[in-house]
Amino acid sequence: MIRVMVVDDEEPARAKLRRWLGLEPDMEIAGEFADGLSAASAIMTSSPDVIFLDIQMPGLSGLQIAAQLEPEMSPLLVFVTAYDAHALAAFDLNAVDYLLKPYDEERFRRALDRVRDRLHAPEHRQSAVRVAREQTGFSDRLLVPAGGELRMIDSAAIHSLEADDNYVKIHTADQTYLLRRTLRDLLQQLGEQRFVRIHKSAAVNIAEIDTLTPLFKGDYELRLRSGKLLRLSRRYTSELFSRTGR
Amino acid sequence: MDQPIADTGRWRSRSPLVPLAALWATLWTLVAIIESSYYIHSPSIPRWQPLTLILSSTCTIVVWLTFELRFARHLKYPLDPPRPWFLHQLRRLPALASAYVVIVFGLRHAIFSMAGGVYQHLPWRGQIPFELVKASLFYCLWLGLVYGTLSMRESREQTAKLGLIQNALVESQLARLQAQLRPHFLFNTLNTVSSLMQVDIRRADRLLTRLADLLRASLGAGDANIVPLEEELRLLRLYTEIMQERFSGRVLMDWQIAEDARGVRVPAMILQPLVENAFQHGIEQSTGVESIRVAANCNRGLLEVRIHNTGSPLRDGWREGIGIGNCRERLRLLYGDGASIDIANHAEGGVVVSVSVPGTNG
Repeated sequence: MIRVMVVDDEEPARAKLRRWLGLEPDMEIAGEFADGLSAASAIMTSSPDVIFLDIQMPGLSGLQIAAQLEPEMSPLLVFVTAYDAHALAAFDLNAVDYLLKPYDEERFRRALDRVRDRLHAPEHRQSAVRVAREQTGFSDRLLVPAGGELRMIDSAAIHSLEADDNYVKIHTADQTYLLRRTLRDLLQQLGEQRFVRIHKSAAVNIAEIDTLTPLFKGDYELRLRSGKLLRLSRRYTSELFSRTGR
Repeated sequence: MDQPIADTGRWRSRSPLVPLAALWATLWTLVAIIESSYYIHSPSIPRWQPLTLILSSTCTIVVWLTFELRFARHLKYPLDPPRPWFLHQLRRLPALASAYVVIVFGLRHAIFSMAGGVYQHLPWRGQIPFELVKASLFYCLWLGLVYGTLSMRESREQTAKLGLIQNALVESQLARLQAQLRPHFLFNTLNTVSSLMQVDIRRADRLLTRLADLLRASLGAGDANIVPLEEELRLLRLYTEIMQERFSGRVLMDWQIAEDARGVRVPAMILQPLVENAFQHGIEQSTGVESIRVAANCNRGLLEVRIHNTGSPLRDGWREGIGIGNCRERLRLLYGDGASIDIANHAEGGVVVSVSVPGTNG
C-alpha cells in the first residue's frame, strides 16, 4: 500500500482528494492536515510515502514545510496550488510534480501514475525539497523535535551545530535539539551567511563568536559569547576570517 | 465668513507672486515717470518735492500690499464665482483707503516740515475725496491683478489634482480587479465548486452563481463609483459566503448594520479589501474557528464601519498592505481629512479595522 498524506487548509479541497484517493486500491490515506505545523509534525513521526501538499496555508506554507525536509529521506511530494507563477516555473524546470486547482479526475490520475513511477526514484524527492528551499530562501526558522512535538526555533537563536552520526545536535542558549539530518544539508537550508563551519563536524553562528586564540599548527581556540570553547581547525580558518572580516 | 480654499503652506509659496509683483512695480514706475515729467518742467519746484510725493504713496501702497499678501486670510475666499470674492475684498476698502490717506499725508507733511518746506495741496475738503477715489481705483486695479494670479494658480492646482484623482481611479479599478479576480481566490473557489459538485450539486451550483455575481459586480463597478452601503454590503455578503464555503465551518459572520446606515453613499468596493484582509490575516492564518463581525453605524454625520476579526493580533512592526493603502488613498482623494481608516488590536482579541466616511444619504 502507498501511504498518502493530504495537507490543505480548505476542507472541500481535502474532501476532493480524499474521495478520489479512496477509489485507488493501492493507496491509503495516512492522515489529513489543515495547517503546516501539524502536517510537519506528522510527516516526521509517520513518514508517509507521498504527500499532496497545498502551498498556501496558515503557519507554514507547503513550500516552507518541504524546505524543512531532508532531501534523501523526504516523502514524494505533489504540490497542489491555485496559482503560484514563480513556484510553477521552478517545478517545471526541475520536474517536480504538482496539481493545479481546479483539476479533474483525469489530471489527478495522471499525477497518481507519476507517483507510482517515481516512488522508488529518490532524485525526484531531492529536487522537490531543493526547489522548495530555493523558493522560500534561507530558513529563518527551523523545525526541531522537542519531546513528543515539533518546535519552531529562530535560526538566529542557534549558537552552534554539531554533527553526530546521522544526526545534528543543535545548541541554543539553554537547549540541545537532535535533528536527523546531515550537517551539510542543514547548513544549506539555514544559509551560509549566518553560520560558518569551524571543523569537519561543527559550525557556529557567526554572531555568537566572541574571541579567537591561536593554538599550535594554525588551529585556533574559539570562544562563543556563551563562554563555550570550541576548536577552529586550520582548514576552515581562511573561510571564517574572510566571512568575519578579520 | 472666511472659507480657506487652500492650505496656507501653498499660499506662502512665492513663485506665482513674482509676476504679480513685477506687474505692480511696472505700473508704479509708469505712474512715477508720468508724474515726474509733469513736475520736471516747473523749475520753481525743488526736485525732492515731487519725489517725496511719489515715493510716499508708492512706499505706503507697497508696504500695505505686501502685508496684505503675506498675512491676509481674506484673499483665500473662494474665487468662483468672482463677484462675491470682489465684494468680500471691497468691504475692507473704506478702512484701507482712509488709513492710506492718513498715512500718506502724515508722511508728506512730516518730510516737508523736516526739510523746512510746506506741503501745499488743495483744501482738505477737495483733496481728501480726490485721494480716496485715487486709492480706491488703485485698490480695484490691485484686486484685479490678485484675482487673475490666484485664479490662474487655482486652475493649475485643480488640473493637477484632477490628474491625481484620475490616476487613482484607474489604479483603484485595476487594484479592484486584481483583488476580486485574485487568482488564488478564483482558482481556490473553482476548486471548491469542483469538490462540492461531486456530493452536492445544488450547493456547488449556488457557489458558482455567487462567484459569477461577484465577478459581474466587480467588472461593472466602475460605472457607479459611489454606491449605497446596502449595495456594497450585498457584494461583501457574496464574497463572505464564498469564503465560508471554502473554509467550511471555520468562519462565523456577524452583520450588525444600523437601519439609517444602509442608504449612506460610499465609494464602491471600499470595504471589500478590508474584509479580504480580515480573512487573509485573521482566518487563513488560524487553525481554529474564528468570527468576523461587520458593524455599521451613523453618528453625527459620519458613517462608521467596523470590521472585527477574532484571529491573531497585529504583530509588532506589522506593515500595512497594498489593499489598505489603496483604500486610504481613495478616501483621501474623495474626502480629504474627512475620512479615515484605523487598524488596531481589539480589547477582546483579534483585530478591528474602522472606516469612517462623511455620511450623506440619498
